[in-house]
Amino acid sequence: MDSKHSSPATIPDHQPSAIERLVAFLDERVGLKEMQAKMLNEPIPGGSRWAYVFGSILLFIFAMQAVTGTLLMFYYVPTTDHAYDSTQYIIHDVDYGWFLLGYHFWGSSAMVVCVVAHMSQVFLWGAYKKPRELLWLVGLALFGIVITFGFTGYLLPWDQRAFWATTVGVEILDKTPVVGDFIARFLKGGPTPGQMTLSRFFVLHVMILPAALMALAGLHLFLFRVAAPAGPFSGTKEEIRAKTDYFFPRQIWKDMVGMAFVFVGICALALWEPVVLLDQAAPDPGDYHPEPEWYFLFYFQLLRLKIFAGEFGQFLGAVALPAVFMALLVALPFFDKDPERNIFKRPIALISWIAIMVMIVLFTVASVINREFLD
Amino acid sequence: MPPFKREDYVTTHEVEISHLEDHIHVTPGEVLVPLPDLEKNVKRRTFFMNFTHVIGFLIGLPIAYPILRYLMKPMYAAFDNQWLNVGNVSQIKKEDVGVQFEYKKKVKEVYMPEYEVEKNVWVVRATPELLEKVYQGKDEEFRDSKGTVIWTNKKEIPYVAFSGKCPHLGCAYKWRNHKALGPVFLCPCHLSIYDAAGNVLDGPAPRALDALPVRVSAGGEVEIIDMEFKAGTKAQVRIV
Ligand code: HEM
Ligand code: FES
Repeated sequence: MDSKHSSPATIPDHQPSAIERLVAFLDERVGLKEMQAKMLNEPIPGGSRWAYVFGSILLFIFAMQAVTGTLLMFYYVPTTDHAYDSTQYIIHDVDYGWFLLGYHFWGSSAMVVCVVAHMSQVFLWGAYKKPRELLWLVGLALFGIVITFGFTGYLLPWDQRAFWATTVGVEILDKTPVVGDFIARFLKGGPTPGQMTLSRFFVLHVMILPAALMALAGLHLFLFRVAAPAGPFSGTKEEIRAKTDYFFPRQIWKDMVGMAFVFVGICALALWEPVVLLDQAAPDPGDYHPEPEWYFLFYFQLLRLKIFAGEFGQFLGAVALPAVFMALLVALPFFDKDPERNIFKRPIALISWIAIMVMIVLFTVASVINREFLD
Repeated sequence: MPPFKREDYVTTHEVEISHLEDHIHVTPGEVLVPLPDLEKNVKRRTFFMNFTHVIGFLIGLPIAYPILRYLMKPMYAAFDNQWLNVGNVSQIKKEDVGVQFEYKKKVKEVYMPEYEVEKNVWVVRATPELLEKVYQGKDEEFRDSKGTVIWTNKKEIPYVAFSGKCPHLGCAYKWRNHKALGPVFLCPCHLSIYDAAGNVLDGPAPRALDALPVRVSAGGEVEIIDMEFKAGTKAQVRIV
């Protein structure tokens, strides 16, 4: 605090500029310098890495989603008789509306991609292991929030795509034993999708989920700082210590490059693949073949499999499979107690990860191929 | 520096602070600060801590139930058993073929003015063989929420109307020509396939298409009672 007095090295008759004085004024009252030091001088064992950029990129994407989403709300009206028209108005009439909507749309895809990348990194690096179990659990909750964001946002334009994805999605939730019927009606705000569904999804999408995400992301970062970064999965203590550096500047530089890359990518997609609505939602899809958002396609295709046929199969595919998968992820840090973090010495983990990724790619491709057969 | 007065300081043995002992680590070089005067004679810290929690619960619990009820208001609606005219049988040119009839249904949500939603049913004029497959020799009864029969589809009436909602997960299906199976009802969502009698030929659907109460007037006007059933269950569970 008293650096002025204790550092004789300052140039004798240097008059602090107005900005310097303002900073000093604030620093004295807020402790800015200490805060900045705490934020930037976080040691990263083994040094900065490109692999660690995804968490920061997720924060960046979320911030941009909040900005673009807030702007969309200036024109969007969440009612069944205006949602579609107001979205069309944003796309066709409002200056740069098409761009902001496009950015928000592709930003949501980018968020899902980066969440999967981040989870994969954490998984492959064994960073979920002791003492980061809670960090991993909060991460899983964040994953659920990101998915729910996508699901609720998809309905808002109230076009055919929106309506059918929601119809099927809610029917899937309805298959949950005991509470399914209640959850489905609760979300729909009635027995079938309608205005109440739109209202509920809207409130979730613009109020509850953003608040939850901010709170949990804060907790996530807090836990991350308490546990300290996990660092690389191989190397001796001495090697790691020798390479350790602070968050600033090298990791921040990598994070910034990553963010710039993602920003340009999302802008490019918004430019070249602008959002085009289908017809307004109606209980008859016409020639449209209902399909979910691309990142759900693999699961959608999975539900077409024979083993998931019939009432029991349906329960298996729509409820048991995702529930068991999530339960496994939740339990992971508690049964995988082997401190070994090197992914090349954890064959089961490596093979499981590869198998899941291959399956996702294969089923996504299969669902795209299947489209052709439908016409 | 003023002389050290022992009574101005406390140790964890002298003051009841819940779990403080578990967390306190005094290491050489750490600074001990005087306990504020006002804190010196406060007893029952644990009591006050628990008291805070109790007050929190007393505030939280009574509002939880009203909030739940508030959100549940529109969830359960009574069934509407009105007959709706959906069109004329003259639209049907061939037997045992699915023909889509579109109709509008008035719905009223919460306080809002009544509005119309477009819906559709598939009507089949069935040959006796197909009728047999649909009814398997039994008339089909429809009940209201109290269980009283409101209508019976007679097994010899040749018109069958299927709800437009796929019993798998609720998509809308179509009448299509399938390469191997010929003309069928096909749902594009997860590729469930049904024959003209509504029975599942292929795909994940857990039950046959849902036949609705149907009657045809002397002039050929088709009327139905609009019903929807829960998708994905073997048994029919009516929700609308
Ligand atoms: C919106 C979603 C998320 C945000 C904004 C977020 C943010 C972050 C940030 C900024 C970091 C710090 C460094 C890094 O990037 O590695 C981090 C670390 C971490 N995250 Fe996330 N995260 C999210 C989702 C998840 C998910 C879905 C999981 C896993 C289920 C997860 C598990 C972890 C773990 C275990 C670490 C520690 C990594 C290490 O110490 O090397 N996070 N997260
Ligand atoms: S909803 Fe028709 S097959 Fe799944």
